[in-house]
Amino acid sequence: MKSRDIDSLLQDSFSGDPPTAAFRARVLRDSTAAFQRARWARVRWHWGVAGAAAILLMGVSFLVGRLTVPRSPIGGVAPAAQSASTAHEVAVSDDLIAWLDAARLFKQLGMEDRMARAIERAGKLGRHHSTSAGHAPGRVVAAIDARSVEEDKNPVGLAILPRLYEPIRSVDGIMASSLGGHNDASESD
Amino acid sequence: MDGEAERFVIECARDGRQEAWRELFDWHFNAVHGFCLALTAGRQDLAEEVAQQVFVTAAGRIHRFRSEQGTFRLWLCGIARNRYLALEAKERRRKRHETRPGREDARSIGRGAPETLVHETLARLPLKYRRVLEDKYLKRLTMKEMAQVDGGSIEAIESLLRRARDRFAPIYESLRNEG
Repeated sequence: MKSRDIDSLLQDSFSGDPPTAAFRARVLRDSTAAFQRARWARVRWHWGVAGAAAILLMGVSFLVGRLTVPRSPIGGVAPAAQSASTAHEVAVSDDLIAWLDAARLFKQLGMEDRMARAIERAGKLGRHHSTSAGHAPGRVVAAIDARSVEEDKNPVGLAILPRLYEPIRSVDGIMASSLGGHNDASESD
Repeated sequence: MDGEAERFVIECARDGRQEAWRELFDWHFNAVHGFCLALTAGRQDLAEEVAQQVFVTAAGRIHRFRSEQGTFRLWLCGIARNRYLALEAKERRRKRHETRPGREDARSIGRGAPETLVHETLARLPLKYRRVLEDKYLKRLTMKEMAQVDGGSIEAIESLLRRARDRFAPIYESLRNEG
């Protein structure tokens, strides 16, 4: 091809009317709007993907966490029960301890009749608890906090009570220990 | 405008910057409109419809543009060709309903091929050659104006124009032989 041919070819190719300013402005406006729409669609898509990935990650983490926790065998002893049985301990109700504390207080104050009633209530609670827990009647586990024992000024009780949790012993024994050798059976009868 | 600058602007547009898109629009609108006129064999209404669809489509899909597969202008020309073919097919179907079978309007089919080849050749040229040819034939600038815009001498512009024509000829011939 000669240079002149190229020249005429190019001139013919661009011989049409140039686009009007109105048309150009309209195309620019429409294409810019499409540009913005596409941009927001991509932003929404990215956020959606990120959210889905976060949810998936949390789900996988939760499942992995659940699977890594050792499960107790079916029919076996639960870890809490196992530790309690190995320590020969049974939890007793707070009411029983409260009544024993009250009886001790009444004794210190010299209110014998009130002390007797408190011991009676404690005895009933202790027997009820031991029966419902499946132990032999009249036997419960003392769960007296060591701090309350140490705060006790009674030298007889301190000598008898254990430092932490008492092994299995009779309700009467517990009460006697708590009250400094007082036997509720003899009092209540 | 060189290749690096265009790539940078395209990257900005892909990141969602509106002013980058406007820059690209300014660079390519007139030439793409000319290509659409060539495609439609001078039918102004159809050319405008195709040009509008080209830029709306390109704005929505600019994140799909891959510079390693060709120039941005060539990508726009590809969109224009596809949109034109779709509009042509739609128009043919409509006319087939309106007229008797076998009397298909042959006016638009196969027309405008040389002009289309010119635009496609330009789109394949390096930017500096494409720019100087478009300045002369599309914007119809004089040598003096081109030298002022470019910041060089008239002799340098003439030399650049000569080299651009030399690069244009073999690409045009190969495209015509392919067609």
